[in-house]
Amino acid sequence: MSRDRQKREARTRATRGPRKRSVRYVVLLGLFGSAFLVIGARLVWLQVVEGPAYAKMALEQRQRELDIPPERGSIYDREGQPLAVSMEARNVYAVPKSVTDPEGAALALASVLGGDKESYLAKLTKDATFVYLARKVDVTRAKALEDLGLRGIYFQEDSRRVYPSNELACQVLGFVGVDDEGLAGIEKYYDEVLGGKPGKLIAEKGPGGVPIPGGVELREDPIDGKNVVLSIDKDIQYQAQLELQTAVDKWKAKSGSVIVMDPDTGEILAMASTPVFNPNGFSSADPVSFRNRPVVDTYEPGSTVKSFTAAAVIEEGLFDPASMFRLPPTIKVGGRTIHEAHDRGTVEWSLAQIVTNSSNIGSVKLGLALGEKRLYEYFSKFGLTEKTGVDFPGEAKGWLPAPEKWSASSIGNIPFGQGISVTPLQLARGLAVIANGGNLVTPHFLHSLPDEPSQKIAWDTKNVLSAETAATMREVLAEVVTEGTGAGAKVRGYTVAGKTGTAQKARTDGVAGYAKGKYVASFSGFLPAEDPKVLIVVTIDEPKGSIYGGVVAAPTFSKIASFCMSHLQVPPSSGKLPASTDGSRTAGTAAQALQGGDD
Amino acid sequence: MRLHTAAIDKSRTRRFLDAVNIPLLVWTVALLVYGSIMVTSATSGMAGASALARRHVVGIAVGLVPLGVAWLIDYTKLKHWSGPLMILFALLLVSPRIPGLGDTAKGATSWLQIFGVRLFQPSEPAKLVFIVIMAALISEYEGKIDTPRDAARVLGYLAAAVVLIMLQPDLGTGLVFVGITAAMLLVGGMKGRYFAVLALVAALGVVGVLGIDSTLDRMAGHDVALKDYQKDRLLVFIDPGRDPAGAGYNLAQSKIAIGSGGVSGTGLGSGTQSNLHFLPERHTDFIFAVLGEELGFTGAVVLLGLYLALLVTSLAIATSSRDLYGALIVAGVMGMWLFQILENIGMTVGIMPITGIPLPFMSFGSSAMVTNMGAVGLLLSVWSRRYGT
Repeated sequence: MSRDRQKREARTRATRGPRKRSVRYVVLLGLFGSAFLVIGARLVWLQVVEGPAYAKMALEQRQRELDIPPERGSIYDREGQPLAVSMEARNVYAVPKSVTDPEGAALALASVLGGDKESYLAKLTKDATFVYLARKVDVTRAKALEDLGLRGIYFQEDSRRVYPSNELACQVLGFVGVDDEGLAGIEKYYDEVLGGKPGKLIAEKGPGGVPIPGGVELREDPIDGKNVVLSIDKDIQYQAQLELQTAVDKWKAKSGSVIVMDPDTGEILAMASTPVFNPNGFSSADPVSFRNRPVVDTYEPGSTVKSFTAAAVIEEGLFDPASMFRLPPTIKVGGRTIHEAHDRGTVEWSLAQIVTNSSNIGSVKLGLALGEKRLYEYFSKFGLTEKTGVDFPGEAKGWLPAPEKWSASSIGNIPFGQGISVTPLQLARGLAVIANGGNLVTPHFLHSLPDEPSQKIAWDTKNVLSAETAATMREVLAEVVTEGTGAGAKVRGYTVAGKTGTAQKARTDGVAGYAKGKYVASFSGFLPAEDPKVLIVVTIDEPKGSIYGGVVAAPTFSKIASFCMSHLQVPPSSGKLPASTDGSRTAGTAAQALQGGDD
Repeated sequence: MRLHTAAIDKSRTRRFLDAVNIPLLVWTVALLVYGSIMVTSATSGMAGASALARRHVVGIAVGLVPLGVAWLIDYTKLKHWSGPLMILFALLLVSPRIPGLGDTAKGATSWLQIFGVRLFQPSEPAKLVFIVIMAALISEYEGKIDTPRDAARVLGYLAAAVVLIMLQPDLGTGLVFVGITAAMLLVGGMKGRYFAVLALVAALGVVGVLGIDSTLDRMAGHDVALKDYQKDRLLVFIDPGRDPAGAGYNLAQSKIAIGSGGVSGTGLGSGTQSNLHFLPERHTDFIFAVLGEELGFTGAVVLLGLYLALLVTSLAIATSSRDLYGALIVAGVMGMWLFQILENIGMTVGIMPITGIPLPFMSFGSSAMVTNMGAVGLLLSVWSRRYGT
């Protein structure tokens, strides 16, 4: 049999038997073809049409953009002493899926970092791809933990804010949050300067966020924050806090505050409030202690503003310090009877005596002479109707309504500081007008930006009072200390000018009127009176035992002022005290001073 | 053994070439090489990568034994061994359930192990045994299955096999049995109308089983019949947004891998889906996703081309078979391959439900490799004896 024939026969056998077989093979072939076509079409869709979209998804799930935190700028005092600095730290985190021995790891974490083993265990066994175990751990402890080589536990660079002087200037400095963002105080106000700009890191990761070794690419370097130098003087700040705390303790007061300012420039040398807190552990502190009272709290200033009323009548040329006034024991204005703080008979006092003796009735007479409109105008000139513009977050604005809204009796109490409210800083700023010869300055903390020497820092200042009136008022205010209610504020070797204040506190229970027995005692002044270098405002809130600014606040002023003079090496006043206009009244004012007499 | 009835003027080379189906061997070798490359790439990031790649090649080498044996055996003799083969088939499928011999993984007892050493998955070679048994059965009807009774008998065998495999349970292999039977019934001459009826019954059955199973679970208060993970896979196919992080995760990652490969792929060993371990089961069930990512549409088309060539060559062998029995064996093998290719690739591209079926010649796994090479041996046996024994 030839091979060809053999083949032919075989083929015949194959096709002959079951008849429909060849058709069925075609069907089978058709099945292959259509099945492969379906898959092919699907692949065209997935890989060609949707390919780029899937490529993007693949990229997204394997790449993670991480912020590299910049180093936060430091805060220094005017002498270059550090007040807030950033130190290298580590964040400790876990990828729970990669943790092989949660029990052992939790134990190790608790022993190195402190804290509760159970809470670590809960985090390590959490159904999550990423969990922080501890943030801002100092480098040595992080290193100790890293050396244990725990699986599934990783470290991240970060920095930690440290306040080396703890409570010093705590309310001024404020604090930062876990992401180094300024949350309060200077840290918040200058956050953009201090904060810098985070860099970017592209990290490749596997499922569950596990970082791939070597799969890290730096995209953008972080820009570190800039340093900030404050006008705060660390030594004066310390002294201010110390003396304030002493006074608050002595008088069992609710709280207190101190401002030490350069009246010429508005630079704040110290600002203190009680109670204090430690910004290194602010989270456990009472938020009440965060209040930087001189900027954020308002009060009725009381007799301190009599100096502004007096300055206004002198500037307007209505009277001079020697102008005499006949003052009855009481006076009726708009249906309301005004009393003095201490009852007396009818007296003949000069304008200067009205200020030094802190006469309410005298001040009302001056106010009536000015009229509502001009009184308001001058209070505005002294900055009592606007924010000071201090570089600090959350500044409060006092309350002084426009004269159209005054009641008939307003002119009977506003001239001596009732029915208006201000912040201690507003008051300091107003008083600085008298101290510096007539300029309304902008109080501020920022001294300089050493990293940006080219940037000019300019603060608004405007002339609001003539130099003559200012000088006259300085002499009058010096008499307050030498002969009037402010005797307690004297500083050996220096002439002090200032004004006491004893203001009633408005009721807080919703009823109009004043709270019985609740006062804010204050002393605001500057020295040396002939060329003031330092202006200080001391307020003591709700003192017990005495309520008078001359008794409660003036001694604190004296101690802080005395320290400032020696610390700043201010030459003592030339023996010549400002001339007293009338020697005959010395006895009377001394008697008033002994009573601690003002409103 | 004689390979030819008559060989008067043939040289040795000539005779050998007649006995060997060269295209079949070419496609098989090409697939094996392709698979080895992909397995090497897919395992490159894993612990013990070189050991895994070596095991894959060893699997191929071991597979040469069943290939050779099946080739040398005269397939026509197997027709008379149905009884013992049925016993072997039952033993293979039941063996993992014998205490001490089975090994349970992922909810199924599919492995044979002795003293903790995994030997192989008996369900793999059982597929070949099933093909041989069914070929003998269907060939009895000589190409005409025209009565419901005859069809019912064949389907009864299939049902018995499915019940046995569901003891493990192994839904994937059960479906492969169905695929094999369908191809054999087509070649074996079952009425077209029956196919339509069966397809309808199957579709209703799937819906019904899922519904009844849920009801059973509720009544029993625990997981009976279909395992929850199996149901999940099927349900995820129906509604892929169901649980993207759980059962849908595999499918989502597989589609991202294949899709991101684009036209030309990311390059061998450069697939991030695979290397960064996003892709699960990447050297076994999801090897196609690795190929799709690293070699792109081009690589996928080459693979599909090789498979199509393999199947067309197999079809040619079936048509050349000297008897219906041989053609049915080849049809069974084709049904097995076609179903596994469709199911495996289909699941990786999201057009088929996810079941654990390996991709022939590509997936890592010696049991499947040995089985597929044994199947090539069966095909060669049919081809070599096309003129008679």
